[in-house]
Order: sequence, then structure tokens, then C-alpha cells
Amino acid sequence: MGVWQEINGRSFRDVFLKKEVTKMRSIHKIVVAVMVAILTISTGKVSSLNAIEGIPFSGDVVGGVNISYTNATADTISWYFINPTIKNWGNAKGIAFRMKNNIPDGGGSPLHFAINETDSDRIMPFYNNGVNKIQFVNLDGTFTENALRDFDNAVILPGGFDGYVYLPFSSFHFDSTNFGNSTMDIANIWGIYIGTNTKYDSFSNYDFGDIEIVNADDTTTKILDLSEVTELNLGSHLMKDYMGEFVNFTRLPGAKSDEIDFDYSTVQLQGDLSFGANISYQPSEVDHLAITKLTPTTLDWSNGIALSLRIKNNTSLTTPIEITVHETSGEIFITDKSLDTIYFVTLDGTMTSNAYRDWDSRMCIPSGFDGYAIIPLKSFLLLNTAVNDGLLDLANIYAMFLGVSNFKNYDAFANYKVGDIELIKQDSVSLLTDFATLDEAAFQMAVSPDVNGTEIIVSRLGDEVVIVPTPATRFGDVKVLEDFEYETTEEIQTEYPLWSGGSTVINSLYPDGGMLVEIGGTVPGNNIYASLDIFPKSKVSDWTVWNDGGENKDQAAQGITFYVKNLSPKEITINLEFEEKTDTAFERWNIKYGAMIMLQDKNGSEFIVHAKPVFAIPVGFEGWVRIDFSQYWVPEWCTTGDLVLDLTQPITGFFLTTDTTKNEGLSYVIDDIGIYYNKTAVSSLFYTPSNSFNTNMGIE
Amino acid sequence: MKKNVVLGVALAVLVGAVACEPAVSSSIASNTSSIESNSESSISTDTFEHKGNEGVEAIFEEELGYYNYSPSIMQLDATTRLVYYVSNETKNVANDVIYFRQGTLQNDAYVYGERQVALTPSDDGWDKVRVNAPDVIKGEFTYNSVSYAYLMAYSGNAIEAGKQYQVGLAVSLLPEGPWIKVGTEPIVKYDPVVYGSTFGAGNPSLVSFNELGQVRLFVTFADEYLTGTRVYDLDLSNLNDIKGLDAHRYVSVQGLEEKDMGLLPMLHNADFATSVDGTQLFVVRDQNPLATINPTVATSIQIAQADTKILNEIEYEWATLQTIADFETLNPDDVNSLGWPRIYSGTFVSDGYGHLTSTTDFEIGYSSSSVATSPTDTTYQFTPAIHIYEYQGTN
Repeated sequence: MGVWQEINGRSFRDVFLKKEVTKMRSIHKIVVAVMVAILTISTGKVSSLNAIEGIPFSGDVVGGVNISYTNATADTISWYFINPTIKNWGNAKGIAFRMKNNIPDGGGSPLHFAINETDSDRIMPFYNNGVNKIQFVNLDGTFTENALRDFDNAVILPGGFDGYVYLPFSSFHFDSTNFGNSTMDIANIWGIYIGTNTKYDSFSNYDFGDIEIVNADDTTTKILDLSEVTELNLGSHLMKDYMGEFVNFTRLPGAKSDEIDFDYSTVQLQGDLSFGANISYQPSEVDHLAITKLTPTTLDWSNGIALSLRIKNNTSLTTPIEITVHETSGEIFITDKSLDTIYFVTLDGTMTSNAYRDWDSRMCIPSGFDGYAIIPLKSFLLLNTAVNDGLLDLANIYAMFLGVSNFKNYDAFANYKVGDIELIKQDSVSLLTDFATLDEAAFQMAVSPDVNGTEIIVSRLGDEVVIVPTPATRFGDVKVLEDFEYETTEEIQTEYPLWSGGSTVINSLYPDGGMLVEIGGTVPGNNIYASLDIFPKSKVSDWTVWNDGGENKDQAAQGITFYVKNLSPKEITINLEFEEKTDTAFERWNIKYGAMIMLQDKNGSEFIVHAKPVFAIPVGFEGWVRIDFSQYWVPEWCTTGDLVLDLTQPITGFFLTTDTTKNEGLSYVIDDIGIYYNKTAVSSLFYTPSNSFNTNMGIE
Repeated sequence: MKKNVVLGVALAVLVGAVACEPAVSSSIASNTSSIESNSESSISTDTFEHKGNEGVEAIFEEELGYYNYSPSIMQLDATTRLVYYVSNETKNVANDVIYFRQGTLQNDAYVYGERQVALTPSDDGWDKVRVNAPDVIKGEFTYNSVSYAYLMAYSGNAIEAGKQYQVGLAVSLLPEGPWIKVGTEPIVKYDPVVYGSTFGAGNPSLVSFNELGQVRLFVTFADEYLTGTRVYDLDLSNLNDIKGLDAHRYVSVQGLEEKDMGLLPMLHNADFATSVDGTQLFVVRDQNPLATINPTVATSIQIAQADTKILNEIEYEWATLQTIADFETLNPDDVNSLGWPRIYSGTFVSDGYGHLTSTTDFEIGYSSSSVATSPTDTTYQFTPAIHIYEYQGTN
């Protein structure tokens, strides 16, 4: 193992990881050594004790955050992300974190640090055979100098330590998961990550405060002063990241109070979803936005301070949407998180902020959110070249636009409802669009697919729009995610759209229940596979949660189950794929070659069949299917992810695929797609296991 | 316990050149009922031609021109065993008929008697062209109100090509026969319209579950997409009312190893046996890939062991015990021996119920063959012979 050994850890949430990982991997290995040399030269060498003597650290933990952890069963590092106020660190030579270890003694608390540049270059402290040193500076200026931990480069925060953890940049190296251009530019910092192994070190408990950089002239600059961060804004600076569910934040006292220039929580909003629009998307083969145009009835927004959009997220996934406003002049304005935040007010009046995605300024509708998105008009920034004055002219609005990245591997799952649009003024609220008053023609003017509009599915809502999500139906160890309880074929086809890049199947409502799938022919120029997309549904509140089985709702699912009926005189080969969403990737799981699949027909006979190479529905078969997760793998074409199925991550959907060249003209019915939680064995004449289909499904 | 035939392509090659000539001896030609004659069929030769000598000697020698393969070997008592196998009736004319020979232990070696006919193709019906791959067990099987003590499962087909096999049953009061075919339909059917015209269902292997009428039936099932082995739990106590045919499981291949590492194992042409208490399952099966030069059969067989729960629970795996390849078949009496270049159709020498009385030391029967010396050479077709390998494992 050379100097540039790989760090044992996971990559972090970063849009660049999605896009750049493949192409940068090879480049990185070649140039990394050179770049580190550049880094060292540019930042200077800080490896002696004298280097920090007299440096005037001044950070404190006032308004800081107490960090504690929940124990995790998996051997993994849980991370949080720090978004500093200052991201141009000029020619700094190191960084200091104000920390107070609340564990008074013992062997210390191991911490992992990482710093990312905007292009995804990442550096982390590096042991380097003990050569690299970091300093623990006490409040009285005295300090000790330690090496990093040899086997994982961790910084060991001493028990009871109260002071500054100083990390000279010379002690860093590029991480193995570096995906930038391998030229670390500390004038363009993205943020800082701190991680702890929550299996072994979840005892850790420390207070975390201001962060300073040490400039070349030994002065310091605070890049994050938490006492200046209000409660409302804390989420913009401190976020849970990979495996962040095991990280706990508790705010320390002394932070600046929120001074919002307008208290939107007191505004009486009246808009509703009645006769509004449901918007969903066809997955795209290319990375682009599908943009829906919203044209309010009233386009003069004079004196307004914010827009209120009645909105409901039909999925249990956070859904990013780009919001732009176009002027009649042609100027386009886009929300920018540096100007203001977006507020979400639930129907019961609870307001939250921090609604922007961390790496851009897209509004992130929280999972299952049902309420009002309030978008301050001052948050709009000119996007294109100014043709007028570059300022949003509220009296001359053309329309607003909602853009979703519907690339098949990004946010094609988006499915939400929009309703009335209101204009919030200092002392009043007025309706810009009242959907209930629009006839059909007016509705189509008010909500229209625009850019890549053929991939947008807009349907008008009735007046029965309030659907209270309920937990999935369960019986035995089965949690049913898709019960196909619809009344019309149109509903089925809206909920389960056909992949546009593939070949043909026709799905419809089957009279006896379930979804009928009739396999058509190959579409010239398209993929020979046809795929129906099955994304999380609004009516099932816990669709994406697959580790909530058993009596204590903490049992991970064991596999996929569904009910299927072969209507044809031939075997039909299908694949029920699913997608795991990690912080950095979407990982597709397919039935693997040679998989063993368990069946129970409607008469109670049970089978184990091999994949051919996917699931072949036997001739005449009607009954339950169980596919253990061990019988799934990540196909070669899916190059993202870690090849480890992690059911603590959300599952973003199923893909019901079939090879039309082998199955054209055949048809089947599928129903009750779900997951099961217990290991299952197959019964036979000579073997009655305790964990049979019937036992697990609660059938006597 | 059992033996078997090779997969479709291999079989077609093995017998293909002359298989279109249904060979009918006088004894079989007279067999127009479902009751098979048990007459001995001596091989008359003017000049006895010996088969090849690449490896260890055969357990009995038939002349070059008569192939012997797909053995099923039942140990009747401490000194007697029966070998059921497949051969051709007429020298150098390929047709598949099931024969048996009785072996008697003499001076630490089995001496085999003359071959006798066990089962022949029917005059008409699903098994009118070939019968092969026999496997026989003891038990109590009632058929048409008569209780029989022996059950044979066998492959048969009704077309000249070595495809579209199906599996049938026959019963007998004695291990020597006569054998009565059960019904006129196969017990495991293969529909080429549904599954494609390929090998089909064949190479049955029987293991008794309760030493009475309950039996596990293993069948190679090869359609156009998949080759594997199915297992049926059957109650054959009343062969007029068979129970269990409505469900089957494919046998796991997890833990098996092919010659080319990384290849997904394919389980076919396999014989199964259990420990006496039934908790341990053993398999001997052809390894893949098959040879590419005639005969295109396996060049090695593999023995593996697993918990019998592997038949019902997918997390169980096989543990491989031994691979028998050319090196394991060297002729100890011939320093120039290179071992058999083709080794296939393994079978356990088991008791009457398909049990291994010792799970650490047992015998394996297998078929061998010489290899074609040129693309036009067909003499290899009539060289297959049957051998024994003594497996000695560890506890």
C-alpha cells in the first residue's frame, strides 16, 4: 500500500459523485500524487509544534451543537455535513474546530474529517506512517501534538478535551473516492464532513462550535460562527449525511434569534388542491429537465413579497423541483438559496425552512408533505442575460415553471399535486390561481407541459383530493406496497407508466383484480425490454421503508413477493427489479442468473424454480411468488452503488420488465406486490417447515 | 441410486449416426405386451473385439460394438449386486435397451453373469423409440391391486432424435424382473410446444423416503432456456393414484463446482442417495462444460454432499467431496494409462432404498468412453463401458 492509501469510508452526498464518478476514477489515480504536491506547496508545511504557537484562535461553542450518536448494528461511519459561511479559504494553511469532548476520560473519541471542493475533490487527514501531526490546542494556548490513528486515519479527540482541534492541510491527502479534477482549490470549498463509526464509537458525545481557518500570516478567520446561525437557518449549515440517521444534533444555547423579515407562519392561507393538477413523469433516457408551465390567472404580482403554492408530495421521497419565473420581457429568474429560504407550512400551521437541496437551489418537497410552499420573491435571481434591468418586475410576470430532472436514474419518481397559487403581501393574501373556478380550457392554460412536455403526465384533480396516507396493508409477514386497487384502466396506466425508451406492453385493470399486462412487440430503435415503472404511492405512507417488519417494526425485509397468474400457454419471463437510493447513487437490483424462486400456487402446491435467467411464470401458474434478496444482484450495466443492499436506504421503485422478443403476445396478471419479512422454506409432501408460506402468511 | 443418460445433444452424438435404425432382436420383437420378457440375450461373436484400454478396466467386458452406459447399481446383500444399464441389442447398431447383470462377490471381486433384458421400447406410445437411464429401488408399490417390491424409473422418447425425453415407471416382484410398465403415459411429461424441442425430462433418480411407497424422484429437466434437476416428493404406494406430482422443486446448484470456475453450475445427469437416516443428501453428477470432441459428454463427474434441507430451503449449499476425472481412472496395471477421457453418468452403489450405508466410504459407478480420433471416426460410439470408483472420505 503506497502513500496514497485508500480511506475506508463511503462517499458523501454530492451531485458530482453521480455524474463524474466513472470518468474521473481513472484520471484521479494518475494525477493525484502531483496534485497533492501542489497542495502541499500552496498551503505551506505545518508540521512542527512551533507552527501554531501564538495563533489567536477565538472560536467558541456558544450557539453550537451537541453531537451524540445512536448505536448502529452495521460497521459503518455516520457522517454529518457542515456548510461554512465562508468558502473561499484563500491561502489558508489549516483549519481549527472548536470542540469539547463530553466524555471525560478513556481512550478518546475517533473522528473522521473530510473537506470537499466544489468540483468534488476531497481531502482527508492521513496517517502517513505517523509523520503527519495534528494539534489539540487548549483554551489557555497550550497544546499537544498527535499522530492520526494508523489504521483508519481517525483523529482521536482526547477524553475531556476542551479547545481547538487544529488540522494543518499538510496532514491531508486526496481520498480514494476523489472525483474532482484532483487540483484542490481551497478558494472554492464545498463543505466539511465529520464522521464517526456508529457501531463501535457511538458512545461519542461532544460539543461542536465555531470553525476557523489559519491564514498564511497566522491570523485566523472564522468560516462558521454558529452563534450567528439562527435556529431557522441551522439546517442550512449542519446536515446529516451518509448514515446520518445515527447522528443526533442538540442545539446549545446562545445562538442568535431568528429575525425573519416576515413571519409567514401567521399568514392565513386559503388555497386548496381542489380541481388542481397531479403531475408525474415518464423516466427519461437523458439527463434533462421536464418542465411544467404554471400560468396564474393573475400575472400582476405587484406588492407581493412571496408566492404560496398549495402542494402535496405523493411520494415518500424528498422531491427536488427547480422553480423559475419568467417575465414578459424574457428575463428568467430562478430561486437562489443565498437570497432567502423556502418555507413549508403544513395544514396544521407548522412551518419549517431549509427547503433547498444542498448542492443547488431546487426546492425539496419533503416526503409526503401536504401544505403550502412559500417562496419569497426576493429569493429569485436572474438566470439568463438581462434584457431589461435584471430585476424581477412583479407587474409583468409571464409564468412560473416547475422543472424536474426526470432522468431515469434521478427524480423520475416525482409525483405531486399542485393547487391554488396565492400572493402574499405585507398585509393581505390574494389568489393568483383559483383552480376551482377554471373550466377545462382554462385549466389547460394554467397547467401545461412545456420543455420535454411529452414526458410529463398532467391530470386534473377532482374535489376529493384529500387522501390521507395510510400504512401499507399487512398480512402475516407480508407488507403489500401495490394492491392495484384502482377503478379504471386509465388510473392504472397513470400510476404505472410505460418506460418510453423500451418496447411495448399494455397494462390495464384486470376484471378479477390486479393489473393485466399484455406484452407487445419490439419498438424499432428502442430497447427490446419493456418496463412498467412502479413508483412509491401517496396512499401508502411507508412505501419506501423496507426495514420495518416484525413485532417491533425493526426487522429488515427478506425479499419480494407478489401474486401472479399466467394467462398464456407458454412460460413468461419477467423481472421485478427494484432500485435502492443511496446518498450518492441509485442502485438497481435484478433477479440474478440462476436465482432460486419460491412459489405457492392457488391450490397450495409449492415449488422452487430457477431463473431462466429471470423469473419464468410457469404455464398455468396462479399464486404467490417469493424472491429472497439473496437471489438479486446488481446488473453489470448499473455502475453506481456499492453492490450492498442496504434496506435502511429508501427504495425508490420497482421496474416490471420483460423481453418482448421472447414474450410477445403473452399476457399475465400481477397483483399485491410487496415485501416479506420472514425467511421462507418450501413445503413438500415430506417436509413441513416451521417457516412455510402458509405459516408466514398467517394461513392455517 | 441410479445411473443415467447424457443430455440431448450428447446423446444424439453418441448414438446419432446409427440411431435411425431401430435395432430389434428376436426376443424383443416378440414383446408386444407391456410385460417385458426376461430372457437372457447372449452376445454371440465369432471374434471378440476388445474396447479401448485408456483407463481402469470395466466391471464386465462387452465386446467392442456394444456400448454400456448409464448404470444403476443396487447392492442386494453383502455379496450380490445388480447393475442395470443401457446397451444396444445388435453389434454396431445403436438402440437403447435396458439390461441388467447380476454380480457376485468372489475373491474380493464381483463376477458378473450374462446380460439380461430388463426393459425395451414399447411398440407404440411415448417410449416407442428409446428406453434408457434406469434407476431401481425397493419398497411397496401397489399397481392394479398387486403389490410389487421393486420400482424402476426410466427415460424414454418417441422420436429418433435424442430429444423430448419423458420419464416413466415400471414395477416388478423381483429385482430381476419381469418388469411391468406402469400405465401408458409417462409420470413426468415434457411438452415440446411449451418448452421447446430439446432434451426434455429424463435421467431419473429414485431415493426411498420411508422404505415403503414414499419416494423422492429426481429428474433432469432441460428446456430451451434452462437445464436443471427437479425433485418430486411422491407417494407411490398406489400407482393408480399417485400423489405429489403437482409440485416440484429445482435442486440447488449452490456450492457445486464446474471445471471452468465462474461458470454457473448446471445440475443434470445426476444420481442421488441419502444417508440411512435421511438427513444427508449426496449427488454424483456430470461436470460442465461437456467435451467438444465426440463423444460430447462429460469428462469428469463430481460427488457432493448437503443437508437434505437443501431440497426445501434455498440458503443451503452443497459441499463438494470429490471430482473423478481422468487421473482418478488410471489403470494401475498399465504404466502407459492416461485414464478415461470421458467420464459421465455416475451412480451410487446403494442399498435397495437409495441409501448409503456408509457416508464416508462408498462406491461410485460411472460410464467411460473412448474418443473419436477424427471428425469422421464413429467407432467411439460403441466403446462406452462401466466402471467402479471407490470413494474414501473422512469423517
